[in-house]
Amino acid sequence: MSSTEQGTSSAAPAEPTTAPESAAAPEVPESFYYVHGKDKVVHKVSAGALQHSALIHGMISNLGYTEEQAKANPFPFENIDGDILQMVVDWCNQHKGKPTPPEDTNLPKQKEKLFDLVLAVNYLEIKELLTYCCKQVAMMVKGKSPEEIREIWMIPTDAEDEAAEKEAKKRAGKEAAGETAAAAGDAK
Amino acid sequence: MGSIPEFLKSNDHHLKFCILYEVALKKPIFDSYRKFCNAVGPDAMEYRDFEFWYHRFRLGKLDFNYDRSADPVAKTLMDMPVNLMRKITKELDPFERISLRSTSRAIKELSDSIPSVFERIYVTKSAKEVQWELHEKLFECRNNGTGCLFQKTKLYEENYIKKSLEYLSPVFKIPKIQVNYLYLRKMEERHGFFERRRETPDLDGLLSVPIQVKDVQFDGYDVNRVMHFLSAMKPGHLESIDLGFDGKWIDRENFKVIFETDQFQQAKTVDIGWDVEFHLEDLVNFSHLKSFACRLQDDIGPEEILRVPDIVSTFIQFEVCVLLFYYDQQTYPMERFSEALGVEIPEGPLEKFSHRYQIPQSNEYLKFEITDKGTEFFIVIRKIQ
Repeated sequence: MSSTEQGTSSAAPAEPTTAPESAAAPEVPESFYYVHGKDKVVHKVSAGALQHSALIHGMISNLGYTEEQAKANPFPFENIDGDILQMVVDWCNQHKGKPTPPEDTNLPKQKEKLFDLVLAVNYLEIKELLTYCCKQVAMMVKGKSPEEIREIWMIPTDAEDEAAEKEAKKRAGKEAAGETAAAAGDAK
Repeated sequence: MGSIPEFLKSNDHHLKFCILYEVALKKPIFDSYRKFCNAVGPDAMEYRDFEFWYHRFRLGKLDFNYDRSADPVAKTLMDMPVNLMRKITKELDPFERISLRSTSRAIKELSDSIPSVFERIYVTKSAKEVQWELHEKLFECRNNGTGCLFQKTKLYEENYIKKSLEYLSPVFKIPKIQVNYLYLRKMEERHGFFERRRETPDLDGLLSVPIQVKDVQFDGYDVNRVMHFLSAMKPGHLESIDLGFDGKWIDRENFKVIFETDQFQQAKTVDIGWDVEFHLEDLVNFSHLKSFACRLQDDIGPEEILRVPDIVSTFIQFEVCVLLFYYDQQTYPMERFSEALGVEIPEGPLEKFSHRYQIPQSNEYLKFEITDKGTEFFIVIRKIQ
């Protein structure tokens, strides 16, 4: 996998981007974890920011990793594109330790990526962000006619659906026939 | 002129310049796409491609030769699992879902599986127009004699009632529709109080399939039409019925058919306007209700007055009711009621007095508040501990 222009490669995890806590406050040092997406670019995220994700929070709650162990074991999310994971990490950082507002103005504006973001957020179980994203997706078609909605959300017409179904059946039939022929060949 | 769209389509860069121009104008993306399609034709570029370049240009990435082939294919609504499609669809209000369900059979099935809750729907009909309010959006279709004018902008040749029903009927046909408050009003014009009313055609076919309504209010419709509308509302779901007949006198005998409906018998609250004058024996029809309001015969005698608490105290669910009477100055009823109930009141005009009636073999009371409002006379009865 090639890495994107932003971030660092897995071989050299990024240095902490989060500002260190005030030296005067004798608080328990914050723990950090590492995640990467399909592009293998590793993101360093604080446990506080990751609390938004029920999935990751569940994974790390009993780990008790040291900094070195966490660095050596980034969580792999191979099903999430790197740029999408970056958006999620940014959102988690922006909302770290803050009550989530009823409306979020920090949502990504790249609408063509919104569905990918919805899938990723759903997988990572980030409830509030999922609600915002779904609202944002719904906003895309507010006040639009059926024809316009079909274009914006790429909904196939019934005729296209039927054609795709026919095609899939045809392909499945061909594959089944191929398998039967191969099995017959093996039997010989 | 015809060759310009062909010229623009002939070169990918020309099309991208068109998009860039739209980005520079900072117009909403879909409006830009519509304009783009109008100028170069709907087949020039799919929306998702237009959207890609639009956002890319908006972010200042102006490389027209950017190679998209290595980019992952962006997901669409149809790539979402059903739970996410439902979550997204739920974010649309029921009115917007009407447009969505028309896009394809698969989406219609999905959309129909989600209950569509309308907080309130108002439909007012007169000889001049039909007005309706859905989700705080106001619509009107005016009768212009030969056809109609919809939303002050669109002229149609069809009759205004027909055109209004074209918009309204599909709303009430949405599967799993729930309406918390439905107000159906019929206004009939008359120049003077005693003038004959100008009848207007009814909104037949408005409620053609059973729907779930919680509170309904009718105003100006006759008993037949009320029966027609009521029959479409699922009994049991209908909690409150408010009936007004806009000054059209309704004989209590004609009203009896409404008492017999399941919708009435399973309601919890009923309010009937002053256009129907009930007799004391009709009160038993309200015995299942938590609260009700109606008009009683104006010339109610002392013996009948005494029977009111006896009757009402047998109503198990009862909480409160309002009984209305009309009177003229010759038959001032305050003394009649106070004498019948055994309450001493001072001589002369009196606006209000109250009375407590202990329900036999119970620690509950009926509190009567009797108020004189000039020509109207109210008795409010509340059950109290």
